Amino acid sequence: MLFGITLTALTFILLLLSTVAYYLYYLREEERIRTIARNTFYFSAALILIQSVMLMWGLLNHYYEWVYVYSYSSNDLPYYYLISTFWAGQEGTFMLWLLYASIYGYIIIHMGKAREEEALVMSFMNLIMAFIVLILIKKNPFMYVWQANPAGFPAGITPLDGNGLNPLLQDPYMVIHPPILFAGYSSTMILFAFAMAALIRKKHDDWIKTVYPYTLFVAMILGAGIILGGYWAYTTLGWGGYWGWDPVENSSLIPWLTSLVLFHGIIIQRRQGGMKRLNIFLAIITFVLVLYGSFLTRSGVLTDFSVHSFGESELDSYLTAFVFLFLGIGVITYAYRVRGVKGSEVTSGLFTREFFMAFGMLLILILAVFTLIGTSWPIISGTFLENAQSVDISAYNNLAGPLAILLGLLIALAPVFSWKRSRASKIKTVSVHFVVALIVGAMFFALGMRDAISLIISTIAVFIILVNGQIVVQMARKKNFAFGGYLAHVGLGLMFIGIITSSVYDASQRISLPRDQDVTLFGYDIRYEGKEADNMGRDHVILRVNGQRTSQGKYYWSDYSQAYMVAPAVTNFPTQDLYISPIQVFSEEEQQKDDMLKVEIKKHESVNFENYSFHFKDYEMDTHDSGAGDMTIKAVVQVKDADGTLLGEMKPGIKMVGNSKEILAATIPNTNRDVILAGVNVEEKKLILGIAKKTDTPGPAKKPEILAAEVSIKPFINVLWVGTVIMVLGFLVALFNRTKRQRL
Amino acid sequence: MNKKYILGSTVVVIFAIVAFYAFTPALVRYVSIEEAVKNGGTVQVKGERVGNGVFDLEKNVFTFDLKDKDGRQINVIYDGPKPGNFDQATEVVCKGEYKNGAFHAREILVKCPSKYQEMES
Repeated sequence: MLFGITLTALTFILLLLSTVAYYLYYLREEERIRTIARNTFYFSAALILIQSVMLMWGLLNHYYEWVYVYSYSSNDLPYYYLISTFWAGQEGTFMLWLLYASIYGYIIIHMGKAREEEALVMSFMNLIMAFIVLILIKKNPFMYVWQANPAGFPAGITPLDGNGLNPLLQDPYMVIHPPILFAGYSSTMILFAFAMAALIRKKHDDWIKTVYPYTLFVAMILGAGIILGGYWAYTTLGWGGYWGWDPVENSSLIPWLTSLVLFHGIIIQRRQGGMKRLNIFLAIITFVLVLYGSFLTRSGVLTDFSVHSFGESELDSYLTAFVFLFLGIGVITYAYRVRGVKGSEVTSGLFTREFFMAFGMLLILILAVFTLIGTSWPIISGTFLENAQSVDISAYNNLAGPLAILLGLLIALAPVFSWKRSRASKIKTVSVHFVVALIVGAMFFALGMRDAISLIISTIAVFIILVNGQIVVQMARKKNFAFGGYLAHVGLGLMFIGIITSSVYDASQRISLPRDQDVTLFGYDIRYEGKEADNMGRDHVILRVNGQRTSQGKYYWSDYSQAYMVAPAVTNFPTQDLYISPIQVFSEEEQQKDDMLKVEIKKHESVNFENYSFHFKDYEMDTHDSGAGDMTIKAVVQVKDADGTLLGEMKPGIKMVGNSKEILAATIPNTNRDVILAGVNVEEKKLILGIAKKTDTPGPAKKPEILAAEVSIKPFINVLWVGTVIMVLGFLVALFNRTKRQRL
Repeated sequence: MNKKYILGSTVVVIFAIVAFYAFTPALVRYVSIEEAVKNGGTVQVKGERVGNGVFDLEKNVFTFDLKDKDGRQINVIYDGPKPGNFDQATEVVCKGEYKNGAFHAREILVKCPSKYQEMES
């Protein structure tokens, strides 16, 4: 659509104008230029808003002539999933980036205290936004389908229905996870802009005051996005986990880790005046890492190494250029100006709070660097080896264990020490906490936790929770809201415990659940009671655990994916989750088929079977008027007994409705032995009959429908979920405290 | 030199060593089916699936045939459930070992259209 594409192009021009205007304002400091710069920014922000509303409008009202609407939505989607199609494709996610960037820009101009920094910060914000808009010009969501694919679509004719949304993404978490994650991704550009402004203006001290709340915001929102992604994986994908060190997950984890290091570094810089160079570097690199991550996950370089798949993208070279451009701008400016950055010594003693913090920052950085190398290893090894190598997730788990032990000790002990001087306080209470932690650790051991690393981490985690938790309670009583950091650490301690209990001490078994029979596993009576379709026509498996209906697992055919889609049924008990992931439903007919005697007959020929003689006369076909793909095919078979007396005809058949096959069984005349059409070979004019075995007992000996499922228990996974919520709350309190009280 | 730098660099060195030992055994090479059969060891093979595979209710394993770009076909046995989106996979990557006439996969990566898919044009 020309209007939409014109708007996108106009946005690009305005953003470039605003970039230049803001830079001129920085050089000349004239109010007049600032007004121009601001207005061009507002104008472009308004255009971004209009385009977003247009796109959303188009999605909600099925404008299938637009390539984006056609590609990701369809008529059968309910409203809330139509909303989430906005971020189902690349163009939409970039639009989301821009929308957030506009909001951040507005906040920087109006609500922040960035008076002097506005010129350069906004200049860089605009530049980055302009680059993203460039992607949208190249791949415009408003393009007509016949422009994108002239061969496939006649010009001017709106397709009646869209391609549809991947059923994996039709999940409540997918309505909220991407917008939050992308709020996090785009917010890192603020850090980059502030760091660049600090370098160019040579104000290496002041910048951290204004950037600190943004840093907290980045860490909070990126963390929340990652956590929601974990919930989604756990409740939808059905492999039983929430974190798999997958490239997609890693590419959001790495910038999150560097943002954590950054705001700890800023706290030290505020106190001691040290770590100035590191902080600037971290602010730059966090943004570059987000770009690098989106390059990894969108360009298709890792398609062979990730369970997520991204399709080769024509944006490949563009995204590479994007990463290298901003890496280049950041690193060159940094290298050029870093000599001028002079910080004071971070700490003089070993037993100071800042030393413990610096030590912890180092450990997080080690994890970040390791994850970065591991995730990029297929690319790195591909440059010097003939066959690229990937890194097994065991590598991450093996490193994360020892790191967590040391990091946990630091987090537990840091609050004991004072700033600057090597002096410990509260030794008595901390000793008590330590003893309590040891006792709880002994309880873990008694409950069966025998792995040394797991046991040590869990014990230290209890120590973290006690030490930091006490401080939170004390501060909260005094209405001192500076406890956000301690609260976040309590959350982290809980997460440590929850991760270990749910992933190291989980148990899993694959079982067959015959319909309407109780199967006892892990102390639960599990009963499969058949399938039930929801309002979108998708089958859910009905399960009862100890007589109670559980949350439903899904098992349905998806036309979009051309596959059976499964989603687990998760029952949450106070101490553990019972996680039932359907593998396959074996219907009565299917099982009967395996168990039957097979008889092959050519057309117009006869075959003897037991005392019978079967003569295959012909096929009987019936294409229904109802649907295009529907059809019934039946074989007409005459049956004679040993004496040659005609007993009658049987017509076993198959009914095809869409992609599902229904078996129409017949019986041998004068008996109740089932006969089905087990195979059809049209070319050789042959058919295969499946005939039920002779049974001594009269009546059909049918096998029940079976649900094959993977059943697992996840002990104390609630501790992990509670931990994640507390951690995010900790960030919120810290952010609130910082913005309301302007304190560090 | 200052104590804290000594401590800091010691930690970095220790973790570099830990990382190295965590890293090297976890490296898995990409090979063709032919090499996987010939050389054995834990490797990754990539190819197209042949058919939709079968889940064996008795043994609780999932088996299917995999064909690589050289046209070589191999039977894959996966001690686990059929991946949910297996049937929509365009490509399948198996991590595991070839032994006793079949490829025993520890992990299956299924390549299928996902969140970032392109328009089918």
